[in-house]
Amino acid sequence: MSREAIILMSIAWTAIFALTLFCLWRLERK
Amino acid sequence: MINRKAERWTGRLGVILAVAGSAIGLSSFLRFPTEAARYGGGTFMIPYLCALICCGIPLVWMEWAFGRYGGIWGRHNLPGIFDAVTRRPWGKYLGVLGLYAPFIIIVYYLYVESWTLGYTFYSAIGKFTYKSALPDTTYLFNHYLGIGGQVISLPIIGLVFLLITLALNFYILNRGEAGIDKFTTYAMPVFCLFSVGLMVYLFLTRSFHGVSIWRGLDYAWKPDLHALADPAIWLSATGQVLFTLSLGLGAVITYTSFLRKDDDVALSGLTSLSINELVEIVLAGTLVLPMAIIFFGPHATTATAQQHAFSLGFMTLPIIFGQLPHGDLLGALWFLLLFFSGLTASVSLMKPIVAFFEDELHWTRAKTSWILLVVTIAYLAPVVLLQKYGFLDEMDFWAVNIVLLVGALVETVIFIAVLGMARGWEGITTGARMHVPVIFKYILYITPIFLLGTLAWWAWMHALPKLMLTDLPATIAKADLPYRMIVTIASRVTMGLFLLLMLLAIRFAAARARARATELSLPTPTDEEVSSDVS
Repeated sequence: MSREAIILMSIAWTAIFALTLFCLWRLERK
Repeated sequence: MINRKAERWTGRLGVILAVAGSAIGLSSFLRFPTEAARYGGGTFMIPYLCALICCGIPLVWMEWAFGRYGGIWGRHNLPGIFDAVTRRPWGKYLGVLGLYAPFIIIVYYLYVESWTLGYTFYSAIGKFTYKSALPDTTYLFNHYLGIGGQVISLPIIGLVFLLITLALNFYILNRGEAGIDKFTTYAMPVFCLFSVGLMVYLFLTRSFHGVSIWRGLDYAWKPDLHALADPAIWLSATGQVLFTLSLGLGAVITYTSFLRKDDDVALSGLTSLSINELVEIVLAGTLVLPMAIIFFGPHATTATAQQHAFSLGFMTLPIIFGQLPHGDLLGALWFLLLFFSGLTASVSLMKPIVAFFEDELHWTRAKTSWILLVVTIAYLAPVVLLQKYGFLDEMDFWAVNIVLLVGALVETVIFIAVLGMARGWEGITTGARMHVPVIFKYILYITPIFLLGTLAWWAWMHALPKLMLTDLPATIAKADLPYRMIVTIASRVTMGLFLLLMLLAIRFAAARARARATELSLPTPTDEEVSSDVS
């Protein structure tokens, strides 16, 4: 994989995983 | 009239899963990779991510807040909510997009949905147990759609599955949301886990037909910055974000209008968005587009994507399942779950239309459903029979890239200028189970600029060639060109006629409301009196 592809994919995947985990964590908090 | 109380959501997770279920559908696994391939893979991802931040997140919050306000006002459809918020005669006509967009989309969406059911059958009878690449899957796809040498496409097997799909959709529509709520709770997590399992298998296998999976991922994520100067890619990416999140068409508004006034919208809306994007960017972004590059190469993949919207998943996934042990059963299960995810999405698309006729015209659910079914079947006829010459693709382009963007633009302008940012922000933050970053208060102002800018830029560069039919793909054979042009024009004329029909329905509803008010001897003012009072 090229460097640009790795950077773009890493940013997108990290952001979306972080957002989903944050949402699910907040949702479970009373 | 149906019992509205019985339709209230049973729990917070229920509404999130139902909205996510309506969002996770054919769009993520079928439309997203095809659109990305059409515009060069990784290049598509940059405008897509920009549109997600500038339009996706703000619009999700806007629509959830709008829907909750609508429920408080006793309105569950976009024309009704716009009528209540603007208090102007033209308000309800702007809301026509909340009827028109879901109707146009539902017609071809139902057809694509039926393909997944057909592929469930194909997989179950062992049609995917071969190892070769492009020729077989393309043949299978064209054969299923009835595309051959003749002008008219007549898919015999496809029609059977289309009828089953229609029957199931209208049966569920008649039973109310309770069924969808319960069903989505179980089906969607199973579908997501199954897709994660497939993704893990691909990463563990690493190489297919001597080509590494990293090569496919490289194409799917490597941007060509020069290609970003074309507004068509920005239009397509923004349309895809709206389509996948069911924004700009009133579906989310109808769903969330059944929330209570102190229910959370900020965290719930964001959760449904993040689940949908996780499936689209991570799962579909790995399972379909990179694998198409591996199996067919970049040129054939782009050509296939340009030929038929929603097509790539039907080309690549059968090959993946064909290589797995018990692939026929696994393929059947995966396509069946994809069908169910499409089913929840299509029922949610029909809800705004049903809500309008029930609330504004006081039709019964059964009457609305039967009329909707008859009109849908009538409109489906050219979609099915003229598939070869792109009737469906033309509808998909205008509905997603233009109608949804205009719908979203109208919503944001009304939210900011008519409802007012202070009240709108209050609508987003009231009952919020998370801190909504203040920066989004400013991003909400960027959203209409982004939408208008994208539409205007595209119109400046591409509207004329598009309207004059001079931008048809070069891959079309010369002999097919006249047919393609006629079908394209027919598709546009039909869409125009249906817009007129929806406007007439709204006018009829307004006249009916005035007549009822007169019957009850209520001092309800006319539209003109309301507007003069306000001014």
